[in-house]
Amino acid sequence: MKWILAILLATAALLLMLPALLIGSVLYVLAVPIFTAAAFFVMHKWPHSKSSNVSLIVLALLSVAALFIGIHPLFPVISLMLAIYAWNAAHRFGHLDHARVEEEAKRQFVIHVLTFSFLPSLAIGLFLIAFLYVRVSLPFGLALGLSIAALLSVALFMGVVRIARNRED
Amino acid sequence: MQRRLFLPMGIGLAILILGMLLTNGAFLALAVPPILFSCFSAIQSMQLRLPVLNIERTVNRHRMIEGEEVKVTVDVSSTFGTTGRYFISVIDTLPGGAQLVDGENQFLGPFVQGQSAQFSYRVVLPRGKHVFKEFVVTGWSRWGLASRMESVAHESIVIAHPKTDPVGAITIRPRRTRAFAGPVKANQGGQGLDFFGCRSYVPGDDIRRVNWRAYARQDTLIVNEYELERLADVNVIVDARLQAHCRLGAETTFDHSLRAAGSLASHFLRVGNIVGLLVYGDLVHWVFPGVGKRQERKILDALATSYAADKEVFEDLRKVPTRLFPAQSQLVFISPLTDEDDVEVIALLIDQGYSILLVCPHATTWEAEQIGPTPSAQLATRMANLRRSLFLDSLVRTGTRIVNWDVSEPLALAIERDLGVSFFRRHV
Repeated sequence: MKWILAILLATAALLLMLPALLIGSVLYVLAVPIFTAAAFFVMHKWPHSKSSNVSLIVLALLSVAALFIGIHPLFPVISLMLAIYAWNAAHRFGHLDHARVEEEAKRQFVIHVLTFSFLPSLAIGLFLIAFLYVRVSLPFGLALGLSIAALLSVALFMGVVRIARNRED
Repeated sequence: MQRRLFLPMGIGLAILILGMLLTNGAFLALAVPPILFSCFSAIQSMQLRLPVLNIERTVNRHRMIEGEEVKVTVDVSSTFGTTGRYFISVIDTLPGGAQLVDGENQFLGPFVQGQSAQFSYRVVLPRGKHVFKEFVVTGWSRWGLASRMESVAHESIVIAHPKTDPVGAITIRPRRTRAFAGPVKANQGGQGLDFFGCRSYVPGDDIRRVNWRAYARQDTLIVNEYELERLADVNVIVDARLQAHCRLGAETTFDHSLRAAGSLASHFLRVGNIVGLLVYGDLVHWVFPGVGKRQERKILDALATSYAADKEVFEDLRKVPTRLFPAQSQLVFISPLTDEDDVEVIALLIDQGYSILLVCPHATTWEAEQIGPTPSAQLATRMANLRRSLFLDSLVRTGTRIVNWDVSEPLALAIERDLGVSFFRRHV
């Protein structure tokens, strides 16, 4: 589970890094991989809820910094949505830290959380993408492509997780 | 509103304020996701209702010996409520120090009206009084936005007694005994098994006790007397001063002292004596003297909940409340003896007429093994042994019977070596 959350946070960070590469902000490009490594580290060292709180705060700061260096707001918004999704899931996974539970029940719980927690974030994300498309002069094709790519990557990731877990059984 | 939602709400508001200060629309857009998420979650939390659950915990034993396993079974059922849409989690909170060895202590899954579920687990409990206090029930809304957590109180108590071992036969000779027949030699003539002496016949003496050989020699009736066997008061005193004990990995010599106290109290009770307990440390914890299995259970319960503490008022053994013990009775003192003052106090008790059996636990061998065979460690071990020998030798001269017990060896072995009683001898 911690790997899933860490990969989600890394995806969020990468979403910030790609436009920074295009702009040529070297410092920012350095900050994001450091955050990614830190996310992996804290997710493995600390309990779910604590590490997700820290990760969310840091990613929010990175998103604000991204806006300062001139990255299009779409990227930080999607990135923050992913971070909130990971944060919400981590808080639910935290309930597994305090007790031992049957493996099958645990598997079902993880899949349930990853599937259903994603939908509110998706709804808010889509609303904002639409909002940004209206308010900010962004080529429609690019906005749509980016948002679909981000969401598909997460969906694909979840599918991979599900298949992997089924294979383990 | 759930406390956890303060974080995204705070982040959202901070970005919002920043955007307003900078008059930048991009910041305002960035503030929308966390604020919207927090608002939706708060609304859902208010609407979320947990099912009404009947949760029962069954523990297969309420008293046990430390390190043994306890099987706990939890039954969860729902009387009413429509909960099919929610995942629920029921966690049986384990008491501190409990180690889960088998099974699961959580139910996790969808729960519908009329459904029942059961989970069971085994835990190993250390010495102490363990209270299984409550169940933590958590329910989540369908979209993962809201959760509600409640505690359902349900108390089960398990007491883990210190581990006791048979200690063989220990002979005690207190100066004063009770009037009832028992296992202790009373140093008085009367009815018994062991020959005590002869005296002139007085009317009423049993004719079978006449010593006919003595009558033949002295031409007067002489009767044999046997040593009376009576009940004795035995009070076990455990030194619970933190300063007196040393740590041995996860345990301390205090844990070993409690095991020794349990073993000795059980032994003296089984042979029929009146046994009391005093734990001297944090508080003066006293178990009124008594006999039988019920008393044994009381003493073991008291030992299970005892702990070493560092109280200035109990810094030395001078505050031992001797008024609790019958005059000239038997005291069993279990103490590592920290300094000369302790030795002096024990000598003072001997002067007051008490018979004292001192069990002196120490961990020199264990400590030496931990440090390794360095010259300084060998010197330190030698000094510690010499110091203890000095204390114990001065106590031997006062008439104290001493068991110098290295906790790495069984107590029965130390008793056999120092008191000269065989583990296989069955009678006192």
